[in-house]
Amino acid sequence: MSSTFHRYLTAGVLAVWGGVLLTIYFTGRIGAYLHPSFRPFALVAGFVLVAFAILMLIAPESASAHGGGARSTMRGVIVSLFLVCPLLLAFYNSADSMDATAVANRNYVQDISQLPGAQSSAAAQPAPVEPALPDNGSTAPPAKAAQADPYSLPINKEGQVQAQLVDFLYAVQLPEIRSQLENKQVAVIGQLMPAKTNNPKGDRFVIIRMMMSCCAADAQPVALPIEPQQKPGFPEMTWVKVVGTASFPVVGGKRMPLIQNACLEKIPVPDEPYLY
Amino acid sequence: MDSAFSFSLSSFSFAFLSILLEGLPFLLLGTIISGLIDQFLPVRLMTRLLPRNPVAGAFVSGLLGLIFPMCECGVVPIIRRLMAKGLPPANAITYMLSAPIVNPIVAISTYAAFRGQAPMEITLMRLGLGYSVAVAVGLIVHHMPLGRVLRTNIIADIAQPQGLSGGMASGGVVARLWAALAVCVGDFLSMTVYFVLGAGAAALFNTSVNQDFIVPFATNDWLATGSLMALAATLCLCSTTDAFIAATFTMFPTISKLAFLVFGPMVDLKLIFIYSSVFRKRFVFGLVIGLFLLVGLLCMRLRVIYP
Repeated sequence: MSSTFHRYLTAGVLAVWGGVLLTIYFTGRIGAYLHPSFRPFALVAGFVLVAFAILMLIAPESASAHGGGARSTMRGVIVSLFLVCPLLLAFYNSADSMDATAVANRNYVQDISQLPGAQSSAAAQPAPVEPALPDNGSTAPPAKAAQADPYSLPINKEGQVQAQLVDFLYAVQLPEIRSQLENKQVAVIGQLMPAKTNNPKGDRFVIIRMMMSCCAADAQPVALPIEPQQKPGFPEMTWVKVVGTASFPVVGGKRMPLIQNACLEKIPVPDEPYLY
Repeated sequence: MDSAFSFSLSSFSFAFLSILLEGLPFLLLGTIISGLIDQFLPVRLMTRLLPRNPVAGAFVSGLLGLIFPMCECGVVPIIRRLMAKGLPPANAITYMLSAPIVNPIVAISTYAAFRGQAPMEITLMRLGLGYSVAVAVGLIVHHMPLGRVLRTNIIADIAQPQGLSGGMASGGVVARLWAALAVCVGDFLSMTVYFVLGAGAAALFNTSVNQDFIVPFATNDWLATGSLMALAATLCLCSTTDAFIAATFTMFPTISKLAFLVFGPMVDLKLIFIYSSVFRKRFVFGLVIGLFLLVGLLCMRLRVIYP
């Protein structure tokens, strides 16, 4: 392969990769793909690849002799196409989110102990007794209530407890949080999905939020079961605001969160769709 | 139960892109270091730095990650270059397997991820087991002929006294920087081919295979350990962050999570393809099987400590 053609081809591949990284970053799509702590690396890599592409074009002839030896033109073109085509196809085909099929293929996280760092608080709590005792969930000792200030949940203007989905999972283990939610009108947002378990009548759904550790490929759906007043007419993975009564029934010796008499309202995708 | 396999192009593309975006910066960093090593690290320096005794050399190589930390995506181009600079392949493989685990960043992230779950014990066991396995593999490779380990073109590079691509460029620092750029870009493109293949395989598993079919394995120690190692190989997580995933497998025994943390940085789908750029396919196959058995059996022995 002629040296000049090889350089242009290499520069082109680097420019495409760098361009894709920078486009994803500066269009804001990066938020759908990477944990915030990884995003700067993608930005830097994008700039470096574009810089390398430019440098390859102006590099002296003697330098390119170090780059990997002579390749046939055909092989160079095939390798370049292999590097560029899947990237561009994924770039244009990706909807910047998992669809319902891919989410349903993952295990729903419905226990706070399955989230990083939650084991100690979970382990500190006594096992629940079936049925749930009122004073075991709805009230907390004054001393503990005083300590619960950091867990205080806000009330919105409609008088509903404005909670995050993960608060319900914490509430299963922490009476300080459970007391603020149990038998109260609550509002929470998430994406609608069918319930996989504990759904004998088929009238339960879950709302999920994807919890990301590094990138979207490792995100796990954190799920909260709901019992809607009527079967929702929205497609799976629709973003909804759920308003209903929070309860924490004990099923099979294990307490679980549940929103009963839930009203669902379709909402736009939030600025920050992931939990971290 | 839902079907075990269901494919969606948009979700596959999404997961594929996210793996590329996460791993590519580290692969790029590895190839930049590789280019700089090629042009600025004096030939045979590594052999002078390491003990002449191959056994001692393997033990020291396993600790190099503490000084030169590198994740698994970036380490392969570096060892390829270091071998061309005179680092014995057995020591290079020891460094390749240990550096993504035995390094300060991974120690800190593992400790942080397992807070509340005996973090010090897990961290020490992860680093200790990773180091031990890497040294053991290095010692085994030391007794193997190069022709059974390395690809022909890599052996040819090592055979050249001045390393890959003719060694250092003549001239000053600027000439060497230009040459380092060319080496870096060449390595980057050749490694990215394998990275793309691996990311594609990982994304396919990640989005298309129903994980409900994996969970039942958690109830048996042997199955749990084997299945978490298989999961680590398919998820292709970065070793700096995989502990945050492992910590969430609360239904699995501790020793199986340890196996996930040790096996994952040494073997995953994308690494199998990346390894194939340096090592013979048969060796890669043997390495994968050997590591699976070695890590699995060692972790099962650790049940005595962590029942």
